Amino acid sequence: MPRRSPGGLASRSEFVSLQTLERGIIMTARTQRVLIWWSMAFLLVFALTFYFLIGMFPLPPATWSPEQIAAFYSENAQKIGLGAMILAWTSAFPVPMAVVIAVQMARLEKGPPVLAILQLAGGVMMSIFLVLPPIFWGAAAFNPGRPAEITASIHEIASLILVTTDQYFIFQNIAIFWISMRLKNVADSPFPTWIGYLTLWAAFMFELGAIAFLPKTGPFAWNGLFGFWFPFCIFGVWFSVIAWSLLRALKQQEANGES
Amino acid sequence: MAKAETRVPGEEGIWVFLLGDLFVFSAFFLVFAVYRAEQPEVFASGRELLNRSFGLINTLLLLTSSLFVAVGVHRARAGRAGSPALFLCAVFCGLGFVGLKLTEYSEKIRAGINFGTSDFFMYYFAFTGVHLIHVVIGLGVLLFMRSAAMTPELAQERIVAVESGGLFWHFVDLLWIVLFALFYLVE
Repeated sequence: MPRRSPGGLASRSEFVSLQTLERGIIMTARTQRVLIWWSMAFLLVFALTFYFLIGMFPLPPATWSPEQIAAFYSENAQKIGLGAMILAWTSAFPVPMAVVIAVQMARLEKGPPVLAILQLAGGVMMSIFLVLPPIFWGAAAFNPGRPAEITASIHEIASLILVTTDQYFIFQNIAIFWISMRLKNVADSPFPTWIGYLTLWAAFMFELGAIAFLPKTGPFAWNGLFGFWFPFCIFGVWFSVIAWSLLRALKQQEANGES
Repeated sequence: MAKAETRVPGEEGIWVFLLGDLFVFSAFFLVFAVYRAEQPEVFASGRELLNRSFGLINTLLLLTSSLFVAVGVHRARAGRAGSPALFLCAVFCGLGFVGLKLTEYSEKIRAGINFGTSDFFMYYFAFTGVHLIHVVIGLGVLLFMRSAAMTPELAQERIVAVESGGLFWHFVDLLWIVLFALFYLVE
């Protein structure tokens, strides 16, 4: 990062405040690394909680009757409540990763970091759809003695939010793809072209989840191969590959003397 | 004897995308085959309701567009003029495909056939819909290729970009040929 020269017309106090500002804004490689591992650790907690406590990995069939759904929440109320509590702490895990990606993109962009901001906006907003389902699951399990139809509605909203919400991936992923296309020969960039294409492909695959609004059975249903398994597995792979690429680039940047 | 230099066309990165997409469409085809084996009558009667002429015309449109793209990329590579016009012709073929596909969808929906009619039509709408999104994105890619090929002296990087776009379009064409065979033809 170029540092502003203390010379010229800037007074000493202005210079000091600028330096303080820069120190505050510029994230060191170490901080970025911490953010990446923070994201990954919370992703792991998210996955484990989702599987062991919430017990909806994969989601139960969309053909369940309201009584079956209510019975599921009655039997597992404690576990689901506990899961919702843990996920209340951890389910926004994509946020730190989106911040590091944005910092790395802004580092490469010349002029205003338009794509970095687009990516950050998409990444942060996307995390909302991982935050909402656990809240709804927790709410469904909070009072399972209510009429079954009401519990079923809450359950359906939660499940559909989890599977069909692709609105923000488009912006996050296309921004990453775009920058990888624009800057092809930067040695210590975390966004080589193949990462760009992988990200573009992942965006395509996530979009399949939205079809789950239509069928209740088969591969496009919310627990089906294309509705659930493909988007979730590809999300896990994509997120991990991005983390790996960022860590690798940070190492290179450190070796090149950047902090 | 000097060894001829061989090179993978397009950017290496685009093969990540194409192979990934191929993987997913292979899964589509496999799932379709499995469900068809389970309910052969439903799939046979579904196929009877499709308009083969639409399918065939769309196949010809995409094959023609692929020819335009292939010749255009070849010309761009050889440093000869004319590729932007060829890419534009491909765009018109692609627009024809989109128009015909939408006509086909609306005809089906007017006849009361939709996503929920049967498993056959669920796959028909889902797979051809995902493919249609590919075509629409491909049209954007073709327009990008056209503007990239505008400058007469193309830098190597531009040629590679044009090649990558061409690969995507051929891939979209290839997927349609399999979809056409699977939905409209195979008994």
